[in-house]
Amino acid sequence: MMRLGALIVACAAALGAQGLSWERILHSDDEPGNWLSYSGNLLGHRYSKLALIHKGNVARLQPAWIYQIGGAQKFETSPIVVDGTMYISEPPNMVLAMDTKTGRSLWTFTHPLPGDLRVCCGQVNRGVAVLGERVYFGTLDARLIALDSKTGRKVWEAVLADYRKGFSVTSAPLIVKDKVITGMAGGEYGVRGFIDAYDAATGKLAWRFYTVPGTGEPGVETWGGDSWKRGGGTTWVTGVYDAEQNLIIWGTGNPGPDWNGDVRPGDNLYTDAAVAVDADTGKLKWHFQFTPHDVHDWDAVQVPVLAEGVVRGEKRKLLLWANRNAFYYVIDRTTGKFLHARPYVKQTWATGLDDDGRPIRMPGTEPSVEGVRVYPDVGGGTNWWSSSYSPQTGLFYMAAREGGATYFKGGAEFREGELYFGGGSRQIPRDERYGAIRALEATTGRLVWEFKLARTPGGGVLTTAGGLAFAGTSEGDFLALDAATGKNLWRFRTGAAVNSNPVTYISGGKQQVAVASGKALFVFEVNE
Amino acid sequence: MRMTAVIVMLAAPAFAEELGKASSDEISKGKRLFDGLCAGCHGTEGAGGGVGPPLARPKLARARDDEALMQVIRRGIPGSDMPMARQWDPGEVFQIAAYVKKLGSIPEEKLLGSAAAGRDVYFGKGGCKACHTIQGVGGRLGPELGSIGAQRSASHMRRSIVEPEAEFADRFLWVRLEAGGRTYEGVRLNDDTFSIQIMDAGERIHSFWKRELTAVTEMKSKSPMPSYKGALSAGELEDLVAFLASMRGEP
Ligand code: HEC
Ligand code: HEC
Repeated sequence: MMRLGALIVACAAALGAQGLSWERILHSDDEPGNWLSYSGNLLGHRYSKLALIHKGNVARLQPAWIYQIGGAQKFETSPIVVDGTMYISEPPNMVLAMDTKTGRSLWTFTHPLPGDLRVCCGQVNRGVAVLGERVYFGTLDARLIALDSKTGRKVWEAVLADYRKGFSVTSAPLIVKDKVITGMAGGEYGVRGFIDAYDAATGKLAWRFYTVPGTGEPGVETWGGDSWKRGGGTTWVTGVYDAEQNLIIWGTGNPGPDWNGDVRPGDNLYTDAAVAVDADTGKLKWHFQFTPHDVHDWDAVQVPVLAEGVVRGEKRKLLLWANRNAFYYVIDRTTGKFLHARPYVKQTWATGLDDDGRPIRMPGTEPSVEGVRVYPDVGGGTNWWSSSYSPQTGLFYMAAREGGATYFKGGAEFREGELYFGGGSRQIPRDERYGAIRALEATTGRLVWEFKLARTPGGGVLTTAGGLAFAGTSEGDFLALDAATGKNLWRFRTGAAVNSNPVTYISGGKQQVAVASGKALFVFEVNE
Repeated sequence: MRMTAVIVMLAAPAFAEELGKASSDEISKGKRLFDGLCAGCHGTEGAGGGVGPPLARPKLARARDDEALMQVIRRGIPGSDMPMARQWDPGEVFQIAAYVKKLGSIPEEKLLGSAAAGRDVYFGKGGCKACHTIQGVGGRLGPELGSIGAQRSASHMRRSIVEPEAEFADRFLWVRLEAGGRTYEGVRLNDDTFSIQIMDAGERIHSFWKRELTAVTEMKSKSPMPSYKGALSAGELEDLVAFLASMRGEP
């Protein structure tokens, strides 16, 4: 298997005068020696068929090299690796090509930023995308930029929106055929969310899907008055592509303002939802809203996970989703129909879900002027970092947060380009807060094992055919767990919080695992 | 740089040094603005918990006085997530600043004792030096008290002395550990998924991997500080509180 994969890589590289083809990205599972898209494959699995590092030798995993960054911002990049070259973003808006064998950089591109950015929650970037001989990335001043993959020189630049109105881009783009798909951020500024598709060659906008419908469009009636104009529903975590249905599936963020729902009566479609749009036209095929009329800032900004499995006695194409609102969902991805859900962390806001998957709210859980205690907290049961699905074990892996908050409602006056929270929250004193890496049965969400953490985590999970699950902690450890049992097999003290998603690939015949932690990228391999 | 400095100087005098005199109406307007614009990052009532630091503290590192506080709100903190107030008029900035200032202020209380006499109690009969440091002198089991007067109200300090287990210093936790058939007790210095470190009453530091431990007990309502109830006269207690209230050094 492995040999064949390596062979294909070698051939493709030799043939590929035009660099990384769409065909290769589409069939990335056939060349596990590379990491060709944000989640490793287009299905959002963050799983690798590599097994050179396995339960038997993971104890000998050691740093191969470390790359240090400057600045004060969180390092959230998820690397892309193509034929021995790694492409990463460095905060605030730098892009680098690195040689995976030596850890030396081949080129660096710095996008100059204006001094008056509108970013609520860190001048971060989660990575780049590669197609052909181009590297694509989004910027904090709401641009999409194409660079030459050999030199780092700029080829084109497209402006998504006016950053002064609160728009920005922090997520990695997704390549689908000849288009670069990008989400955007700014949900705390009263912006209107969208997903954009640009022609990869020219940077021309091919289509835009607004996640909040406007006048005359179905769904606008779920917004009181003209509140849809400031509705939020941003798209700040990279989505996935379902090739069989030619659908792009993406998660959407909170409605604005976050904690004061009075100014936007209704369900507020399509915020806090999964949306499936046609990859060629951007037309909505279906949607599933996890949290109608959200008042707790529970963005549905998780990487969608596409799998197949038997649910309700039938083999189905599934969408799996551990949502920020504390529930794990199983959805039919041909129709967007709800199949099943169950909480994966403590929650006190819903008594359950009805047959359509609509939450039945516990009365008295809306934020109030006096404050109301609700589990989970604003960060949610999980957040933007990736879950992982292993076809080998059939399990869904995720980094969970346990803890509640007291939510308050505040004023909600809108001023363009200013933050638009409408409230706040605070931690519950002496609350039992902790974290865990959890493995859930993919079709039911039943807990199979957990590895408890003293603090709530902030990084994603990678699983491999070596029977391993890799995950970072906010305490500054990077861990390898037995994917079947959760037993801790290896640990490395990075010394600072891991706020990123690990990846794996082959460099010089050796499997490497890379993860950003603190102000450095750590790359590990087994020393024989 | 220069330009901004000039603008700020021109803009400042109108409201300088008056935050403490803000009316309750202005403060409640400030609260309303704060809840809508700031609480998302700094927590409701500035309690912290979001990306911004807690603000309900008597001393803020980047806003040491009224003018600095208004400046931070007007201009934000470049290079950080702290945004600038782009569209608010000076009156609104004043209202928010007055509210923020109130969050951290400790209630004014009349002090009945003499700080000089309290100093003698502290270093003499009270034996407080054994466990507390002031200006680098003293024991290390308890918190540094060199700026306690700027951080705590007189009644909090009084209660801490008479009834140490009624209220605790920030982040303080006493733990008992069992390892290799021995028991260790001390102040928790660090506690993570894999390890724990404590300082015992003799100021010795012990570090354990959690797998070495057979038991961990968090003694959430235990303080190693003795109660001075009955040990000090009412006069001595008031003197001691006056002395601590005069401790306003930089944190
Ligand atoms: C998007 C998040 C965010 C918002 C909104 C925000 N802040 Fe901040 N604030 C920060 C961060 C982060 C810092 C710390 C910056 C640093 O020190 O590098 C900070 C620092 C401060 C400080 C200095 C604290 C200290 O310890 O010295 C003050 C005062 C402050 N903010 C007040 C406010 C007020 C008042 C508002 C609302 C008008 C506000 N902030 C809105 C993120 C925010
Ligand atoms: C045996 C050691 C010990 C002695 C002696 C001792 N303390 Fe303490 N003290 C502590 C410890 C430990 C704490 C922190 C735990 C707590 O809050 O009770 C503390 C807390 C305090 C606090 C509360 C600080 C805060 O921020 O809440 C004050 C005030 C205080 N001590 C004053 C005194 C004074 C005054 C004396 C002498 C009369 C004294 N202590 C003697 C150990 C001691």
